[in-house]
Amino acid sequence: MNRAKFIIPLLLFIFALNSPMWGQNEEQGLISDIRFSAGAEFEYFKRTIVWDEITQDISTLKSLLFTFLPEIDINNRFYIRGIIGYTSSDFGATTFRELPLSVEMEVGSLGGLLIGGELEIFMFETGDFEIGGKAQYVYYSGSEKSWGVPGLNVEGSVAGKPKWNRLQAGLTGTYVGMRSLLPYIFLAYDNLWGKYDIVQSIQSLTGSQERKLSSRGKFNATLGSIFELSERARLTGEFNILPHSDGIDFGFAAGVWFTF
Amino acid sequence: MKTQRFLTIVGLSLVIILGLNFKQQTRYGKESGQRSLLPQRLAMGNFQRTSAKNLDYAQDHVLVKFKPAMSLQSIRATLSAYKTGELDKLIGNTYVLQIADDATVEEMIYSLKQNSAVEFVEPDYIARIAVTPNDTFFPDQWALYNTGQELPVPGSPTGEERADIHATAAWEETKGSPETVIAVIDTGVDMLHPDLMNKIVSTGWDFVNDDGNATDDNGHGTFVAGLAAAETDNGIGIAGVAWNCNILPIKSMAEDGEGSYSWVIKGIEYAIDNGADIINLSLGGSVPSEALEDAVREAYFRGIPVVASAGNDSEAVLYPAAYDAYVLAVAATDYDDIRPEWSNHGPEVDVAAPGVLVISCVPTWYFGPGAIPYAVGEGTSFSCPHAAGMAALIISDKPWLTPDDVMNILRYTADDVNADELAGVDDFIGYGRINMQTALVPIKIK
Repeated sequence: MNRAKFIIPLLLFIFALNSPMWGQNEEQGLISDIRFSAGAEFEYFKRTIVWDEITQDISTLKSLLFTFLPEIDINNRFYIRGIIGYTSSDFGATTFRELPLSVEMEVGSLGGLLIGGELEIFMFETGDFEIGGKAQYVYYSGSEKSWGVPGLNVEGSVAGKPKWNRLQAGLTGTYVGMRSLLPYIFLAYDNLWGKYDIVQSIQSLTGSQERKLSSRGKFNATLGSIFELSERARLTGEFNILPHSDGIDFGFAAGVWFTF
Repeated sequence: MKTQRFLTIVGLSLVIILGLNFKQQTRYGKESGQRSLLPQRLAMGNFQRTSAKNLDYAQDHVLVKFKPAMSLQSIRATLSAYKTGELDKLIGNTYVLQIADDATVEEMIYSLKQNSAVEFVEPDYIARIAVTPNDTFFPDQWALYNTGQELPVPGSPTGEERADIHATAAWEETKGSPETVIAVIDTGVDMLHPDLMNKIVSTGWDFVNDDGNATDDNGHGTFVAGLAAAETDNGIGIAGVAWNCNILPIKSMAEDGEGSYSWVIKGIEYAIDNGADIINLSLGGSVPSEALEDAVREAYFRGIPVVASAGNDSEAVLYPAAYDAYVLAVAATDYDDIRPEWSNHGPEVDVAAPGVLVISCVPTWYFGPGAIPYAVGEGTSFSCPHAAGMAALIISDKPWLTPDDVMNILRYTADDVNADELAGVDDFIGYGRINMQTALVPIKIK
């Protein structure tokens, strides 16, 4: 059963690469052209997050992402990108009431490792538009940090470790009618979820709590553009919004890419 | 405990008590003819119980500050672009702006934030007063909220502001649960008292007369019960520390305020078997007893914190308070956060709580017909229910905590009010005077 989970997507992938629907010449075979690129990106996003299913507390997650992205371009149609980098996330004010002494964490940004991957496929062209699909998954693991608990007559601390995951998957439409400027739109399902673990230790008084979080908005609309500086270098920039019942969240990103 | 200073005193009705020269002798001893007169007060009015935790804000306007360089004309031009107008002007360049008809507060804020002329924009949040119960004598309860008010006995000095257990701030977080039951093992409780009748879970048990009616024939137990959990915000009398928690009355002390250890032990067993979540023992003896220690140990291992008064003889801590591993021993402080010299001391003292000139309930028969059944008293007996009430709120809020956890929360969150002379844990007030706010309100970590 587990093996099937890998084999089926692999077969679909092979089928997809050979599909004439993509306008690919069948005689070229499965993989006729592979190119390697690497990019460096900066991204900022703000997400309204809801804590736990029961309490439904709301706060705002603000994250800065600095990432390095190696890319494999297969047949100029299918892109596989790895994502690794540093992320700084501020979860806003969050209260943990299941510790022996409740605490309201308002500790600002917490740095951590970001890893993930991205797949992008260009499926077909219609006029000057190229339609494709893109999916990205990233995982942030915040570094554990410890703070003193003020106001007590003994020494005490809380240690926190946050994590979040983000999955975006949707369709892309790229305008290819201009020579070196490729504006695109990306309409995607966008989900962010994670947890924040806190451990409290005040002399012999100890306890821990895990709070789960998920983003309020689940739909992301992105406008962006690729600027081809040369055959080997390009710049990217994009802005996205996530409307939801409490307002609108947004994000933006910029990157530079080199092809080898 | 030999010298319980149950200075009864009282006053309270237009009708009464000036002529009364009330004396009481408890098992703990001291007699007092001192009398106090509480000023008769009208009800404070129905202040609504509210919580500042809800971040409510006005739905029809927002607050906007424009950058200093913006002229009035520029501001008005900007506002017209947003189909809105100013309702009011606040400090500097800050305005109260009407929300456009087709917009929400969130949309308006989002939109204005994009404007480079705007320094900040925010909702007009709703502020609320701190929780203030409407009980008639709450303003006299300096132990719960000390404003430096006139103390309830004429001729007494005023107290020091905030030399109290910070109850009102803690009530913002929790008022406790009716499911949480405080066993008051004492002289019984007056079950007809208007501030207690709705807080009694059963008629309890009278181990002195061996019957199922733990009514109070002394007054001490009613006073203790009132401090711990009198009905609060009911427009009469006093506020109890454990606002919503209930009381299980158990009579183990006789009319004269004395009782055998065996009655106390039976009372503890009864509390364990009848749903008590915390046991208040405002009593004690100077002689250790293995049977008494077994009883408090049993409560401890059954998950029930036991809180006991240290005693009022300026001597060693009494038993069972001295059973350090199983019992939280409570000493006294006054309206200036100073330990009265009669409060017992020793390494077993864990914390201190107000025990001087505190007002609480007395049985309805106490002063006779027509009198208002409240009095002023002092002693560690009355410090103890402050700590028991606070423990009840903690248990209500976090029922998974162990007795050790609950006792440690009381200890570690206490204010070391004698730090100038004796920094850290000491034999007189232990870790310090209890502080409900630190224990119950989330502590900000920045």
